[in-house]
Amino acid sequence: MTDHTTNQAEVLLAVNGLKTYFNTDDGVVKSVDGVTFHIKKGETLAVVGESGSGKSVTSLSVMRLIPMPPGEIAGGEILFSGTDGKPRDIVNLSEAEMRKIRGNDIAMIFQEPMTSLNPVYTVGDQIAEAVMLHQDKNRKDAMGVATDMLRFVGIPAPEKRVNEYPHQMSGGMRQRVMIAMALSCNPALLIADEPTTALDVTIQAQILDLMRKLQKDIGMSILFITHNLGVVAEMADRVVVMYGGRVVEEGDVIEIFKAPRHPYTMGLLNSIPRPGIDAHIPGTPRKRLEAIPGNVPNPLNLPPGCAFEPRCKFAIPDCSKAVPELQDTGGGHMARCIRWQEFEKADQEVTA
Amino acid sequence: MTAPAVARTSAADSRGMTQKGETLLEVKNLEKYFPIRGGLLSRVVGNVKAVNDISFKLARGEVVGLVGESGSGKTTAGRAILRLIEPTGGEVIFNGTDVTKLSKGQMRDYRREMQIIFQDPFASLNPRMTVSDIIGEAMQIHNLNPGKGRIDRIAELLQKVGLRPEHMRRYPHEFSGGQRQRIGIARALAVDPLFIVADEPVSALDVSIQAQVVNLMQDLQEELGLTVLFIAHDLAVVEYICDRIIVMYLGRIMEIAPSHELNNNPKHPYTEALLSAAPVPDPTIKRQRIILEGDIPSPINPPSGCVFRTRCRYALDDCAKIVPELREVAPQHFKACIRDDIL
Repeated sequence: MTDHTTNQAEVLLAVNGLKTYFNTDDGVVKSVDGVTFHIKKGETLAVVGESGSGKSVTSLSVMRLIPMPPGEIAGGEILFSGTDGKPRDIVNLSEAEMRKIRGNDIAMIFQEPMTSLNPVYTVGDQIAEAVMLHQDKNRKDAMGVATDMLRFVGIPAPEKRVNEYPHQMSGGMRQRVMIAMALSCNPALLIADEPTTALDVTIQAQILDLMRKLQKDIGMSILFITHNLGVVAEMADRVVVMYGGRVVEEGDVIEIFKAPRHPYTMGLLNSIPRPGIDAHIPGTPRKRLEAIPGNVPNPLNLPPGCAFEPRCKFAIPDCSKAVPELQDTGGGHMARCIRWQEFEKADQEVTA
Repeated sequence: MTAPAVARTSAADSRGMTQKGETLLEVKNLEKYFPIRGGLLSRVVGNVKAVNDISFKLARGEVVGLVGESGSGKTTAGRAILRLIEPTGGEVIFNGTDVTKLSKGQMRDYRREMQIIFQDPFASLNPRMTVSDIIGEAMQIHNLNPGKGRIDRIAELLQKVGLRPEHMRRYPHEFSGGQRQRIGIARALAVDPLFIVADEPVSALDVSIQAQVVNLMQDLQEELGLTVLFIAHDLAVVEYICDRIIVMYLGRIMEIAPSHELNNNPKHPYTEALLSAAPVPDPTIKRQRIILEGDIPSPINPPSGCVFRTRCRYALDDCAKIVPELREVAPQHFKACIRDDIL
């Protein structure tokens, strides 16, 4: 257990105690309530959560794309180490400074490639726009970069495609365009918010494969937001699990899948059928998935203690008294559960 | 379960005709073409061949998965079987009757036996109707459980799907996605059907809620002996819940096999690629992945011969010439591929 002390120079992004609140007519929605995590250079960090967990608001906060009002960053810091290696707090940057970072040092791809592309401009124009803005190139050179980028992300006949409009392309093609646009300025950090959720599984495989290859070539870090545990297992080095606006577990991807220490993570892993392993064999009794009872909590009205307590099969009276601390279970594996030691013990007894 | 208050119609009389294991539904050469109009006179200039000559059978009490990617025609097939869209060719033989030949009025009687659960629980429930109106509507149309009996039946259905009787006075917006999907299931069960088309019933739900709905559907299927056509794109869920799986691509059936067989021993190159593309929720497994090149071609102008050949790594010259027949290559295992020397 030595490698969990991270060398500060390796950290690209450090989010500390981030609080992003929304003021609504019904009250304050604490979408992100004290979230802390970091991403190292060249690393892929997956943030997993369901609707309302705060995973997308976290990524939008890093990009400073939260509409204010009604939103506000009510606390915490987002330290980003730019090209000079000096950490700067994104929360306090002016809009002009932020514009230099956004799309240049930090780029983002979204779930819906159709709605994130402008339908009235060619894809070449849209990629070139970012290049002209950030790299001080003229239009002709920028269009050249756009063509190169389309080739780079595996779009056939890029010289022709660069002059096409988004509607002339398929969903997978459009997501490639989004990636080309995001990578056109060589970002240090790519935020991918559910980039393959709207795509078919064979196209998803293409895009994930492409992202892995590009990461190897460019060496960027990826903040991967998703709800799909299969995609997490495939892409992530480390995983942050969010629930009700808080981090409930964080750790190395293998630790999270093999030795989860938070009941929510355990429940999520048990609630999905594993391809191949859980296929039904006729004539045998049907298996049952271990469903998590109840519903995702209302962010306006979170339980007073652990947000997962009402749905947790391990809950005890102490769970509803106070929000549990995020505790280090060893080796940088963190869990926000007062009973994690008991799970560890139970695990050891099973393997012993 | 409460006995139907009204004598069943002709369609319903045939209920007892088939026993468990016998064919309940046979789809024969089903076709759905959508015309494309163009030019000055709006003449038909082409067809989108959404469903192109598919045939399969469902035994009574069987749960069969229909999988494919967008554009494969799986949803169109499900709706054409129920005549929610009119098929342009082929037969759908339900309990011995070809329902494609029935008049609108006759079809209404059959609808009682054939129900659907939709993907989007937000769009498929009328926001102006209370839950009891939504569930009671079909009973009213079919004149089931009139009077006080209807309310009792609605309460019973709500409990069956894991909701409470007092929920019947509420409106859809007061429920979460998972609860709405439960209402959709109760609505489908209200008329006591034999056969249900479940069109991506869990795709729109959160992961932790999906398992609840999958378990519920499994319990109800077993309890009521329902025959289910489960349409989905998530192979893991389909394998888990279904006895057999039908794989579609570009309007045609590529392969049919029992779930575990399809998974362990896929015979069609498309199935092989589809299985390999699905991400496995286990970071210690690193698989060699078959990445299919390109996109699904346009159904307006599908490739000649085998529709999959343009993306198939095993394709031969002959694949462009012959439309491969769906043939039995092992017991209960069918594939539409001319090559027997692969897989």
